[in-house]
Amino acid sequence: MKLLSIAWKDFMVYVTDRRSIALIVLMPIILILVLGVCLSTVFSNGGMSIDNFEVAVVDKDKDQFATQFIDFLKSEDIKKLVTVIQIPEDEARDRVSRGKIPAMIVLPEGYSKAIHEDREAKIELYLDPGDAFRGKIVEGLVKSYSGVLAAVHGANDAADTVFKDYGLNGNLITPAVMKTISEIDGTGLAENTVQKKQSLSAMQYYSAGILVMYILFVGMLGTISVIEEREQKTLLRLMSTTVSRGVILSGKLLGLYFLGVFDVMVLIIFTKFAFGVDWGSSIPGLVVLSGAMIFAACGLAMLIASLMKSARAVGAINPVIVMLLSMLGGSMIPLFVMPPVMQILSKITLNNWALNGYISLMFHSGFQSIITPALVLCAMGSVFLTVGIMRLKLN
Amino acid sequence: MSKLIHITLMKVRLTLKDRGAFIWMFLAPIIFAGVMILVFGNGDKSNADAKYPISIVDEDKGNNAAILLELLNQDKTFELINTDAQKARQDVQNGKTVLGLVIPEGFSKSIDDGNAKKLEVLKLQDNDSTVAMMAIVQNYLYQLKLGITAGNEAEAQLASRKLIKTEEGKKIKEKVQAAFLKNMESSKIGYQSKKLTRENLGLNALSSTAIGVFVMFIMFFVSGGAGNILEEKETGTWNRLLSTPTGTFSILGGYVLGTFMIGWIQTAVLILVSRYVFHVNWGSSPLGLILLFSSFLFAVIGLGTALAALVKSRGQLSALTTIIVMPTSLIAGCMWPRDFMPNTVQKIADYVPQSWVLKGMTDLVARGSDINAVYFPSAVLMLFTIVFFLVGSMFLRQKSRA
Repeated sequence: MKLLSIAWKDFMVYVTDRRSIALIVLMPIILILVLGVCLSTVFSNGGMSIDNFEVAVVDKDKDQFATQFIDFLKSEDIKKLVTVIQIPEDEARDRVSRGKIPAMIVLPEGYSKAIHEDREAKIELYLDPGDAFRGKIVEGLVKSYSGVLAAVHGANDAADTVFKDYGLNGNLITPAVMKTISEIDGTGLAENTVQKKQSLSAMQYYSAGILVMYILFVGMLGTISVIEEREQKTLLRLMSTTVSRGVILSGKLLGLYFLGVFDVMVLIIFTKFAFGVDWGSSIPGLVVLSGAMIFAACGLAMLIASLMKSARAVGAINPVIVMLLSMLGGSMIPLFVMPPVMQILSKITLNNWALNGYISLMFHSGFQSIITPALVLCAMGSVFLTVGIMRLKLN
Repeated sequence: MSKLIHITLMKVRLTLKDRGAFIWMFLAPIIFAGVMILVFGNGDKSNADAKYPISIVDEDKGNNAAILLELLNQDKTFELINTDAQKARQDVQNGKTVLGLVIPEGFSKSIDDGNAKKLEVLKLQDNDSTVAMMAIVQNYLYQLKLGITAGNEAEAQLASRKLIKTEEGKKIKEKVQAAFLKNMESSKIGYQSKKLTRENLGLNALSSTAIGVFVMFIMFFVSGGAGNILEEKETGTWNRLLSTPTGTFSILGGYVLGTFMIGWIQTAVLILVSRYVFHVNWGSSPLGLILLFSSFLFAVIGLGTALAALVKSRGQLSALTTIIVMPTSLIAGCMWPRDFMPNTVQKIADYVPQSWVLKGMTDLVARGSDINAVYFPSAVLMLFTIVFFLVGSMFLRQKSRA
């Protein structure tokens, strides 16, 4: 009973403190809102609406395939994306190096001739390293063109090899190949060959990432609360009553746990109804996974409380710890951009397990998919908690 | 003036004396730099030669699927990982692979029939890598169709001339397709990316995301320091200082300069450690870096001071700073390219200091420009500084009147 009243008191202290509510409720909501607005273009239709931009083309070849390439860039679909400007090489070079335009494409002298004579024929691409985003688009266009061109020649030559035995020429199949290409042109680069299916929206990914991150911030509030009470000697006073150390600590932990549950509920319900975030169809899964993550975060909070001396230091250092953990755990940047060492390292962070759990729920993988993450989180939490409580000094 | 310098030095000395703060000041940037380098490894993967891992689920196992896989395999961009549907889904979810590609059953037959079945894509989210990669996959589908057409047409041509028997047709087709694949592998038609300027210095490129996160952390480090005035107010030493004959300007100036110097020590540690321990490329203009970061630090301190003037306690300040720093950093494009965001957001982002330091950094670091490139961003940042201090003094005056 005493345990419950301590827990309830702690919970009420947190909830009525405007500062902590700002940190764990307002802040994530603002973040998710900003993310939602910022990334709305990314996941609204799978493609971004990028403003048309200029690309310099330097045509030193002035022959069949160079003209064809420029026509390709000026074709209906691609015209929407880029505007071709044909300016002298020096000027183009200068503009790219100053970041005025993202790319310069050079069709080298004798490019078409080299293709006819089956020699090395390479389009030269100069990208602005300061604009990787548009650079990638231009590279994609050049890659598409040279890929299809190579395929046409590859097809002709392949037919040639076989036709030789029959005294025929590979060019016989050219009309059919050209017909296939014209059909391709019709579909352009629209996303109709590769079907979109089974992906998370950016909003879903970041909602999960931020939820996990803010459960850790809830833990931080607990750390500060324990240390502040120690600094103000209220813990000592409590100890002088008949309540035992175990009950006091469990009470404080339980209060923190309530706060975590409160936070998770608010955030999940808010994101679900305000932004239509799909959290999957397994409510037991959500409950168990969140419960395990909150438990682990409480454990981590106690461990940190046992290591730190002043509440001020916790306030300064903890946000950085939480952010580093979130970064490692994949809350901010998808893991595949990190080297393999990091992917293994990220397994020691709580975030990674919880995030993976939420993501599999969002994929509607059902309850069994979160059993492992939940068990791992509980195990980590127990270790943190045991070490933390053993080391923690109340006075 | 000498009083101003005294206060500045006093503040720096006080911070250096406090052992906890001292460790925090040096250790945090070092740890941070280390983690950053580990996380972002060899710079931006999109530019490097690193391969993107892709999960492949071949449920078709037919001839055409094999050709497609061979084409993908020849591409240096991908590293194909053959697996089953469940494992592919898991790997994509855990971020082990960028995409999962499922070649559905009957894919080969559907292509032969001229009505290609769609490939199924598994992905965690849309971002620039997945969008680019899907375009590449799409292109290989085109190439596959061309190869198939070649085989079919070769068979048809030979058959129409009665040069082959009907049962030989399949063999011809396979022969043409095999030759096609071989030609594609040794194709001399292609493109090459060339560097505009600068020889390779043997330094790691810092990706734009890394620069952005860097800026965000510096902002967190420094804006907290500006809150020290609040602490002095809480303990009453601030009022004592004001009661001395030293002018408010000298006191405030001393504080700002002190915070500025401490901020610079942290920034310098971050830059130097990453440059000399982790060989990160910070561009070729140290003067440009100094100018840009000095203006940025002043702007951040200005913001911190304005916020400190607005709130009552340190606790409120730290809550308010996080609420302001995180979203503005996101808008400015610290975590992803600005182009991801709607136009309105991009326009709003111009009114956020981080955007300008990022702009200057992109010129200095990625483009290797000289100091000329950062005059304008630095001037804008100084303008932010002035505005923040004006707003801050307005808040202070209002408070003293109330």
